[in-house]
Amino acid sequence: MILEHKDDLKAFREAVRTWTRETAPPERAHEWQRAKGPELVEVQKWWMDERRKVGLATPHWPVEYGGAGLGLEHQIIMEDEFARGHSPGSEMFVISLNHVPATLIPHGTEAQKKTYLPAVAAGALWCQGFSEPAAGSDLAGLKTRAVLDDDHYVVNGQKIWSTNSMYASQCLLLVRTDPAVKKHQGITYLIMDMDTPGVEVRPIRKSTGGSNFGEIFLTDVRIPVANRIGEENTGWMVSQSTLASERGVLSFNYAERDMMFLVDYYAKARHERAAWLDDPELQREFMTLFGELQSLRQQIRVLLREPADAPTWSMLPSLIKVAKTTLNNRIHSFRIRAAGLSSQFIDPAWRAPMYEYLESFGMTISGGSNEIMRNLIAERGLGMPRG
Amino acid sequence: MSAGSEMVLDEAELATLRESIADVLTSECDSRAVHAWLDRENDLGSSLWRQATDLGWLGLSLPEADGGLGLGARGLQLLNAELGAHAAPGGFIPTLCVAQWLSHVSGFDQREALLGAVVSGEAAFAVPALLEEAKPLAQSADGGTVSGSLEVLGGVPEAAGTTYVVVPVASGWAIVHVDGVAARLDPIEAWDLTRNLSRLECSNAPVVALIPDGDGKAGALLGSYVALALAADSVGAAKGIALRTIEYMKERFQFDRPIASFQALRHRAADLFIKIATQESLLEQAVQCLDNGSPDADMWARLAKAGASEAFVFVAADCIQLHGGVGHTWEYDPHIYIKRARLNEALLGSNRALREAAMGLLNQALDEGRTTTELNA
Ligand SMILES: Cc1cc2nc3c(=O)[nH]c(=O)nc-3n(C[C@H](O)[C@H](O)[C@H](O)COP(=O)(O)OP(=O)(O)OC[C@H]3O[C@@H](n4cnc5c(N)ncnc54)[C@H](O)[C@@H]3O)c2cc1C
Repeated sequence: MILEHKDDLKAFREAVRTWTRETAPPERAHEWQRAKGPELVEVQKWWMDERRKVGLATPHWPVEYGGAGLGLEHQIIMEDEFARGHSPGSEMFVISLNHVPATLIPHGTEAQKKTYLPAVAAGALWCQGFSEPAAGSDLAGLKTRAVLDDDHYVVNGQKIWSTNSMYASQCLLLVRTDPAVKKHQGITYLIMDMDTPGVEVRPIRKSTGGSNFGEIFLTDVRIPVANRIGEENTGWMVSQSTLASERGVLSFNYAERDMMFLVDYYAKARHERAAWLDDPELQREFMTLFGELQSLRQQIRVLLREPADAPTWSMLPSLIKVAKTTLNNRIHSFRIRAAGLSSQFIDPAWRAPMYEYLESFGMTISGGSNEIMRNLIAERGLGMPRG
Repeated sequence: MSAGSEMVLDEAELATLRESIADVLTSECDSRAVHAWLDRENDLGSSLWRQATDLGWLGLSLPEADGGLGLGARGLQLLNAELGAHAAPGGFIPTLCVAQWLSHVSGFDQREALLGAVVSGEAAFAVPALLEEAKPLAQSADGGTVSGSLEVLGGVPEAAGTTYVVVPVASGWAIVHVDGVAARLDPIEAWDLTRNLSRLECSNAPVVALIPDGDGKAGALLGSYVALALAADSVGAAKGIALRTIEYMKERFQFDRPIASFQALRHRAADLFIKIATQESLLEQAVQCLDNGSPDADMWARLAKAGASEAFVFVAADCIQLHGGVGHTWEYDPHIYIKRARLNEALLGSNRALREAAMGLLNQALDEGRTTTELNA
């Protein structure tokens, strides 16, 4: 099987490639490219099942929690081949596959790891309940209140923008346990089952008219103390592990797919003799974007190879986050202008320029807005005093 | 072809008129009403059209002889800037621009009937969405009918009435009556829900009137009016969403202070207004030239549309970001504006093509020994 080749990277790549082609043939790519909403959930669940059958769902996890203990090189190869093969994406499992282990492995109890990690490896979908209506950029200002009642926390409050919360089985939840101390010091980190009584999810409509995030209303929700990650009032510290996992491998997968997309886009334009190919202004703009995207892939590889305590660690993820998300926005803006008027007609086609353009604004806001990233670059990276 | 107009109101009167339009839109077409319109929960499109008719907005620019107020390009600018600021739905731009154009071109019948029907709100016009690039439709041997298809801006009448489309033909511009049989409009679903786009299908559609255009000047003038209206809409809308965003930034608290107090965001807000001010004054140049009958009007109008629609895209996009998460939602206003901005940018012709055309006009002026850069006294 594929994992047998883990010591020979070339053979490993070959095996992943063959398996990807056989399991998700590129000729069928339009099926998953077209899927939206619940259909997309089904496609991505199916793909994760297939990956699991051959040990490629969580191969980067430690062996004792259902992984194969593979290194970063393997992860890079996998993501690379999945992108090249036009296989279905795994965005829905971003929290499950990255945030959950990044939080539980260093901070969770043995019992939590044994319960939740294999479940995630088996396809459980998690969401993240950090942001609140009044606590976005100022996350530490969160107010959702948890009060201890014997061996349970009783939680009341409201979360917002929680991606895929309408499909999730568990939630990584930040709550306030001590309102009297400084805001960073009174936060606790909990695991919440989404089917607990008192949990209500209401989808929020995006600018595209679609919806894949929602508000979570919490009314007297009882969460066992056993579901606490770390000690009471250490939630802020624990959450830093969760947030750190948002940068890095995630960006890698997206950037690989974006480059595949741009290369295909250009090939198609040549094939169809698109009008914009004769326009010098657009020619130059395309080549600028093409160059910057390749540069981004280089930067992400540097980031991935860097040990977590490297001196640039504090700055590089933020640099990449801002560069990547703004580049993405510019690429779709380019595609809008290259297509002209027809880009303004509603088009259900995969990655229609206007749809992608509107979606791209989500990325410049989520996961720490680009303004907050710039503050981090200036303060942590460049050593400038806080404003 | 001279597009000069009689200016009948002084500056104070114009300001009063602008305020009166703004007042109506603020009460009838506020954010809540527009959102309800997007969700098909009200009839804002037709109620606004009725109001516009009753208040004489549709005739603001037309010569007094045609039942208008005689405000010319100034009127187009003033009204469209306010409609843009409120993201008002409706086919105002094509109707206002075609009417204005018909009052200035000659050599055709039906002028009185057509303009009268516009002023009374009974007729709406549509124009080729890509007017500057539109290819002539086929004409019958006697020139009496046209056949072919074309994407048009406007069309579906906001109020019960008649729709006419201006279509290019070899000898000029034909006006076709949309009867639903020989000439049909099929709505195109577009991202911007505040405008109508349709595909016109003509098969031997009778020509109501023919505007001859041997030298292309008539078409250029229509293009200038549309350019000016789109530029005004863009400037007004950019300002509208920027002001709403600044209001939001004053009310939104993070880190125990209004986000409007962060210097990084204050500079961004200032930059928005620097961009808007630039385009507002470029538009002013175009308005003055059109109203003075200047031969440079076509050049300035095209530069104004290109610049203003790009600035509008920039401003609306930044307003999404300045709002944070709520800026990415359907419930808040920024998405309405970014969609309108992207459509404005695409309409008439690409901004690259408009600037190229403007350069051609500059070269022509220089070849004729004319300067294009005099400021009006
Ligand atoms: C598509 C999407 C998916 C998301 N998914 C999740 C999720 O799964 N789980 C979750 O918990 N959250 C999620 N979020 C929430 C996201 O983390 C917040 O939207 C983000 O942190 C910004 O917070 P806010 O929306 O409250 O904006 P605000 O914090 O109100 O920001 C408004 C504006 O002010 C700027 N600003 C704020 N503070 C400063 C400062 N100090 N200096 C300069 N500028 C500043 C911001 O950059 C922004 O431009 C998601 C958001 C989006 C858009």
